[in-house]
Amino acid sequence: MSADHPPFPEPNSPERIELLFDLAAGLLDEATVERFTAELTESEYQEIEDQRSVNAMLATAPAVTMEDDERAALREMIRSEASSRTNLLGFKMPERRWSRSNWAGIGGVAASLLLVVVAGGFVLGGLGTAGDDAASSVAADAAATTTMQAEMMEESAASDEDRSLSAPATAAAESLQAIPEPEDGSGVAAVEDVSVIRESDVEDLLAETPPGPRPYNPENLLCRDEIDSEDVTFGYLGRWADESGDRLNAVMFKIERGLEASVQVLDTADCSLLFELDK
Amino acid sequence: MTDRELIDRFVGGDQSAFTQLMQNHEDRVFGLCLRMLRDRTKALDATQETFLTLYRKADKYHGKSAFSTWLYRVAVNTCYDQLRKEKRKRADALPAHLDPIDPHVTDEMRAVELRPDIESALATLQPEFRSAVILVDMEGHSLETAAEMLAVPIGTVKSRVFRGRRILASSLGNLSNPSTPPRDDRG
Repeated sequence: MSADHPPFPEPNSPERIELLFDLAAGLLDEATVERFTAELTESEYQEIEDQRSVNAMLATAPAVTMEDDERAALREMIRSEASSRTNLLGFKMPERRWSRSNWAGIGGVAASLLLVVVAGGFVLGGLGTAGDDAASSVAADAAATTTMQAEMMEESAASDEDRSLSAPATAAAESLQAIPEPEDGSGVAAVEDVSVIRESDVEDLLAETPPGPRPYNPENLLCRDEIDSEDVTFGYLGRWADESGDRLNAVMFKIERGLEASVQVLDTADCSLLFELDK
Repeated sequence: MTDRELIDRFVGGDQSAFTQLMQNHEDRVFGLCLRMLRDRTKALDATQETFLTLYRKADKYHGKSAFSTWLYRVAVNTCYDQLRKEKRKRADALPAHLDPIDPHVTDEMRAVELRPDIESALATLQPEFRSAVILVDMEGHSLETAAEMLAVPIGTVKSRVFRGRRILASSLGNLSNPSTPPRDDRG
């Protein structure tokens, strides 16, 4: 080997694996290929062969497409949900909308879900989602939401499934209306009277157990810009109780990236980090 | 019309642009989710959530990367989220007698349209490896694009694909074994 070239990375090192990947993918220049292959171990030769075989096998796997009924249902669901969001931007959708046992009753499911969205709308509409033209008028939104909810309540009476959802949805809406309305859309005014955020809330949020404070649209909350991530999924306002017993106005964000999640609690006064927990 | 033009139109209030964006990408998003989740119903869930996120956050797309990169990153994260929730559910599973019987369970039989051996082998990969292998080897994305979609360095993508293939090679057995079934596309 020429002394002009640095030695190749040690076997099993991350750098070596990267080099092996490049070799298998044909990404190395000819001279490097020649030098590198000259020092490959037998198992590495076999590995390169396996890498190429698996790559070829996967590359020719047939394309996956939706079936016609799935495509039609998906588009209808999206259209329905999207239109219901016109005044309710920022509300996290319920987790489950498709059900194997409800393929024949997609319309009914959509109606039920809209009801839940409407219930959530009380919070978001009431809090004023700043910067959103469609939600520029809190009063109008609240009125519209109330009307929509009433309409949906009527529709919900048409099926047992909907009926079963209507009562809790109503209760949730009534409970959520009690949250103070912010004056400027950031939630600053609201923070004074909402729940105290405790460390256990942070842990619960990581565990996806609903914490005490109510969720807000995280994109509109104070200090959102301090979180350098587009993966913020929840935002909460509250009073943070520190070790000394002092209580600060705080905002709590949940960030989910890949399989990892973290929660950060920031002081709304200066957006400094009060507490952080990673999973 | 390009994706960029469509998203600009949608942000400007043109709902039909959203429909067009969805039509342009729904099959690939669904395919990615199906390969990640191995269940058509869950894949439809994730596809729906992905497009609802697009609907909600279209104005957050500033064109730093290709629109499809941004969209598939949302899809990958949505799939991760599904897998994370499944993991928690498994850890906190209901007693068997409380598990509702699904009359449409036979739909699972059409879970994925890959060769069964590949499908089973993919399922053995950790989600991080699986997503990298799917994006690079099956969807044909460049390493740079896959790195953007997965929000990891290119070297990490290479490592994940390499290790993923290594596991697949092991799961699939002797790749040159003549008893291996022919590929679907060899007619």
